[in-house]
Amino acid sequence: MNKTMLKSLSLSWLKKLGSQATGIFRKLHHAVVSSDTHKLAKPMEGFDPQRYMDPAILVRVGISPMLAKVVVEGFLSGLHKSPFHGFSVEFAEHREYVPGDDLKYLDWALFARTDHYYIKRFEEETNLRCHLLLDHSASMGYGTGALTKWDYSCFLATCLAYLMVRQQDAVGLALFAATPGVYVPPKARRIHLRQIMAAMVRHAPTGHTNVASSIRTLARKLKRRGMVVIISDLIDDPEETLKAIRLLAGHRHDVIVFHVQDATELDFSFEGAALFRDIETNEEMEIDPVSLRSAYLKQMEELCGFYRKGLTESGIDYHLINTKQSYDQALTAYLNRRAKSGR
Amino acid sequence: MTFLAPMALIGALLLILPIVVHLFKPRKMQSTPFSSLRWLKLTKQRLSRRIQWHQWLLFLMRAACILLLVMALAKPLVGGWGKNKPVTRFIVIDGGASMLYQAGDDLSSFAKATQLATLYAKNYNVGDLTSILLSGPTPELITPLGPDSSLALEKINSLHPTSSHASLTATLPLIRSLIRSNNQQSVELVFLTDNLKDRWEQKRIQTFLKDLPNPVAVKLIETTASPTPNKWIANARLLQFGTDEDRIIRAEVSCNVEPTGPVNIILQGISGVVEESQPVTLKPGQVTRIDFRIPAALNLKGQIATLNLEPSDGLKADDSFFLNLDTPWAARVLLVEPDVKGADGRSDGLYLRVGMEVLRASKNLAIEVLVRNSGTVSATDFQNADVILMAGVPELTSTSLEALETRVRTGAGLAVLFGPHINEEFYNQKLYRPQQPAEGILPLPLKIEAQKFTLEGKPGRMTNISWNHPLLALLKDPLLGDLTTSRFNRYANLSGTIDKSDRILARFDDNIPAILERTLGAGRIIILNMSANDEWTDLPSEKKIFIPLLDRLLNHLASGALKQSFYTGNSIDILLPNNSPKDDVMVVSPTGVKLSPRLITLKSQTLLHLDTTLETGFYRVETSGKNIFTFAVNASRQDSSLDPMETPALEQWWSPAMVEVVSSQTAKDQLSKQSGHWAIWPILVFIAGVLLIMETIYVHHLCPNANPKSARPLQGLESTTRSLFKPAGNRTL
Repeated sequence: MNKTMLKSLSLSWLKKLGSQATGIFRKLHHAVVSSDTHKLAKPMEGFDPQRYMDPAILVRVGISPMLAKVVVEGFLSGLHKSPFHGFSVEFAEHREYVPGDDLKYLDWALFARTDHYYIKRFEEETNLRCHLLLDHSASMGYGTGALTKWDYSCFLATCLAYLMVRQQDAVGLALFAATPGVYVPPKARRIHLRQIMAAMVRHAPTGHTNVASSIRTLARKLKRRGMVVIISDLIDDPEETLKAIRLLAGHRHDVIVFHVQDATELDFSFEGAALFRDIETNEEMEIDPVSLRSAYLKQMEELCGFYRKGLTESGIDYHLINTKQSYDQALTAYLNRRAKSGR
Repeated sequence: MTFLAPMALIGALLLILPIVVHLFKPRKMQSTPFSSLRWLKLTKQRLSRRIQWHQWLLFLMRAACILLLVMALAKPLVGGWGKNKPVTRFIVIDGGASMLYQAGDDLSSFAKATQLATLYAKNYNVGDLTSILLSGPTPELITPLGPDSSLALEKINSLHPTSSHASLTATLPLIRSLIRSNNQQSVELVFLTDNLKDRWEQKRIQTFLKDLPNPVAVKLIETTASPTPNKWIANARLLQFGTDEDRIIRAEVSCNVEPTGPVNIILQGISGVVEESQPVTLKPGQVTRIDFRIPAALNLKGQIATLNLEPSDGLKADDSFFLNLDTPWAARVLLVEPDVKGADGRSDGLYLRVGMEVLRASKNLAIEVLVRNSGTVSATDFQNADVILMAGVPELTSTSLEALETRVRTGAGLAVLFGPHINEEFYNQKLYRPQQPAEGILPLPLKIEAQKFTLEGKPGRMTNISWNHPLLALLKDPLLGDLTTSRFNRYANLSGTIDKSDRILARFDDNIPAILERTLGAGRIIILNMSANDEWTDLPSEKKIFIPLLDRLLNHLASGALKQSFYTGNSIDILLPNNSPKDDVMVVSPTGVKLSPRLITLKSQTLLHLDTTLETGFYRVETSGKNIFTFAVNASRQDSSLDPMETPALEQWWSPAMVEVVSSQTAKDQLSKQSGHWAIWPILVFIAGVLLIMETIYVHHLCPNANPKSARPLQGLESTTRSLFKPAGNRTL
C-alpha cells in the first residue's frame, strides 16, 4: 500500500469521522435547541370551490388524477354495483306547490281535478339523503403532513358528495364547531356539488369544538331518515359525544363516523420538552413528550377503543383515519370493509 | 454526636442547587401548536400524581445520598454516652534526652510516652478536643487542638527526643494560646515524662494559671520508676603541659545511684595506643577523675578517642564520650582588667589570675594566660586569644571592641564579669545593642543601682541553677562546694526579654539573672552577674567553689570551636581553616549521612554552621571529597543526673489545679478500658452507596418519568379511566 492510498484512506476516514461527528452534533443540537421535529401543514388558500376536485391539487397532495378517478370510481363500485340499483320511483305523497319548485313534478291531473297545484314526491328522495356533518373547529386546522385535518376532511367529504350525486343520491353539508354553522340542504343535482364545495372553501376551521351539542342540535333538524356521515376529530367529552351520535342512530339514520386524526396525534412522535399550545384556546402547557408518550398513546388507544366499541355496539360505522394515509386508500379500505359487512 | 470535620457540612448546601435550578431554570422551550391539550391534560393528570410521587422519591433518595456523603465527609462520631463532660486535653510528650532511658528489655521512656500518646489519640471521648505537643528547646505542636488526633498517629510514631533542654513548662505559653477564650471546657494537661526536676519552672506554671477561666487538671504519667540509676562520663579533656611531657586524657565520671557492680572506663580508638580499661569507683553526686596517659612521642594529628563506661546502663548515650585529639593543646586565655585598682589596691582580676595559676599548677587545665588592662589591650591581643575574660572592664576602645566581637564570632569564648568600675553607658550601648539585641555581646541591658540588691536585707543567693549545664555540672559536689552557699551583696539589674537562643543558667533570689549564656557566631559568651573580685560577692574568695567554677568556665568556653567538641541539640559553628577551599563543603555524620552546612563569611574568614545535630560521634568536614578536619558531638549530659521532681512541690506549684501522678502502666490500663467513640462514616458511605444503587435501578427500570414504559396506571387511576370512558353498553338512547 503506497503513501497516496494511505493518505486517501486516512482522508476518507477523517471525512467519515467528521460527518459522524457533525451528525452527532446536529442530533445533540436538535435535542437541546429544537424540540419539535414536525412541520405544520400549510392550510389551502383561495376560494376556488373546485380545489377539492382539482386534479392539480390532487397531484399536489400526492394523488394522481388517474388515481383520483380510480378512487371515485372505486368508491362508486365499492358502494353500489350499479348507480341505479335500488332506485325507487314509487309515489310517496303530495305536497302543496310553492314558487321555485320544479314544474316537472307538478301533478297536472290533480290540478285538473282540484284546481290546486300539488307537487308529487317519490320514495327515492327519503331513502338516499346523505348529510355530511363536517367539523370545522379550529382543531381541525391542525396537521403535520401534506394536509391539515380540515383539508383532508374536505377532500374526503367532496369524494363522498361526488359519489352520492353520481348515484342520484341527495347530499347535503352541515358544518359545526361549538354550534352548528353553515347548512347546505341535501340535493341530488350535480351542480349542488359546487355549493357544497363552496361552503367548505369559504369557511376555514375556527372556534371551539362542541361535537356533542352540535350533533344533538343537528339531530333535531334531520327529521327524515338518511345517511349521516360525521367527519371530525371528536375532540370533546367522549361520553357526551357518544351519546349524541347514538341519538342520530336512534333516529334511524345510517351513521358513519370518520374519526380524523393527524399522525402526530396518534403516535405523538415529538422529541424534547416543549411548550404545547392548544390552537383552539391558545392555552399552553409544558410537556416532555418522551416521558408522556407512552401514557398518551395508551390514552388515545383507550379513547379510540371507547368510540369504536361504543359506536359499533350501536350499529354505527366507526373508521379511524390517520391523515398520514392518503384519503383514497382510507376511503377504499373503509368501503371494502363496509361491502364485506353487507351494508 | 460530634463532627471531626464540621466544615464539610457546608457541602449540604449542594441540595439547594436542584431546587434553585428548578425555580430559576431557563425556559427556552419552543412553542408547539397542537390540536388540543384535552387528551394531554388527561394524560398528564393521570401521570402527574404518580410522576410527582416518583420525583419526590427520587429527590429524597438523591438528597439522602448527598447528605449521607456530606455527613461522612464531616466524619461524625458517636458514643461517650454517660461519660464525663468533654474536656480540652493537651498531651505533652517529654522530648528530653533522658527519655531515651531504657531499663533492660523494657521499652524506652520515650517509646512508652509515644505509645500512651497514641492511645490517647485513639481513645478520645466524643466532644473532647485534643492537642499533642512535644517539649524541646522550641515546643513542637504535633497536632493542633481538634476533635480528632488520630490522624497524627504516624507523626507521633516518628517522633524522637530532641537530646537537648526540654522544659515541659516551656510548652505552657503555647498551650495557653491554644485554649479558646469562648470555650469553658475544663482543661486537662497530660504530661508523659520521666518527671525530672529541671523539666519544671514554677514561674511559667504560675503565669499559665493566672487568670485562666477554665478549670485545670494535671495528669502526670511517669514513664520511669524512681529512682532511676544512671552513671555517665561528664567530661573528658586532653591535657598537655609541655612538649616533652606525656599527655593526659582526663575523664570525669559520675553517677546518681551507687552502682551495684564494678564499673570500668575504656579508652579506645587511638592509633598507636592499646585499648585501656580502668576501674572506676563511683559515689552518687561526686565526680571521679580518671587519667589515661598518652605518650609524648605519639603523633595526635588526625587522632580521635572514644571513652566508654562498662557496663552501660539504661541511658546509653552518656556512657560514651568522643574526644578530638587533634586540637590545640593549650588554650590561650586573655584576661582584661580595669586600669584602676580596687579600694584595697588590688586589681579586679586578681582572683581570676590566681585561680588560673592554681589550675595550671595543678595540671588540671592547659592554658596560657595573657593579662592586659582595658587601656592597653590591643586588637591583636583579642585576635590571638582563645578565651577572653573581661573582669569588670569599664569600657573598650572601638577598635578593641570590634576585634573582640570578631574574635568571638570566629570561635573564641568570652566571659564578662561586672564590677564597680564598669561604664554603664558603654555596656548598654556597645556591648548590648538596643537595635539588634541578638547581635550584641550582652543579651540584656544592665542597670547598676546605688543600693544593694538584697532580698529582705539579706545577701542574695543563687537559685534556679541549671546544674546539668556543662558549666555548672557537678558544682553541687559537697566536697567541691556549692554555688548556693555563695552570697551576693550587689549585682547588676538585668531586665528584659532574652533571645530564644540565650539561656539563663542561674538566677538570684529576686529573679534577676545571675548567669546567662549566649552564642554569638561560633563563640560562646557567659555573663556572670557579679564582680571579679570580692567587692560584690564572696564567691571569688571561696576557693572550693571559685576554682572549680573557673575550671569549668574556661573548659566550657574553650570546648566549642577551639576543641571542636559539641553537644547534641546545639548548633555547630566552626571556623574553616583559611587555606582550605570553600567550595563544595560537606559534613559527613558518624553514620555517613551527608549534611550541607551553611557558610557564613566574617570579613576574611568563613564560618561553618549547622543548625543542630542529633547523632553522636565524630563528624568529618570535607571539601571536594577531601577531609579537612573532624569534630566531635557528644550526647547532652543535661539530663544525666535524672534528678526526679518531688510530687508535693509540683502539687504546690500547680495549686489550685489538681495534680494526679500515675505510672505509665496504670494509665495504659485506664486508656485500654476506655471506649470513647465510634466512627460511623463507613456506615454512612455504605448506606449512601446502597441508596445510589437503588436510585440507579429506580431511574432505569421503575421510574415512569425517566422510563415511560413503566408508567402503568395504578389501581386508583384505572378507576379514574373507567369513569372517563364508561362502558358503551349503557346506552342512553
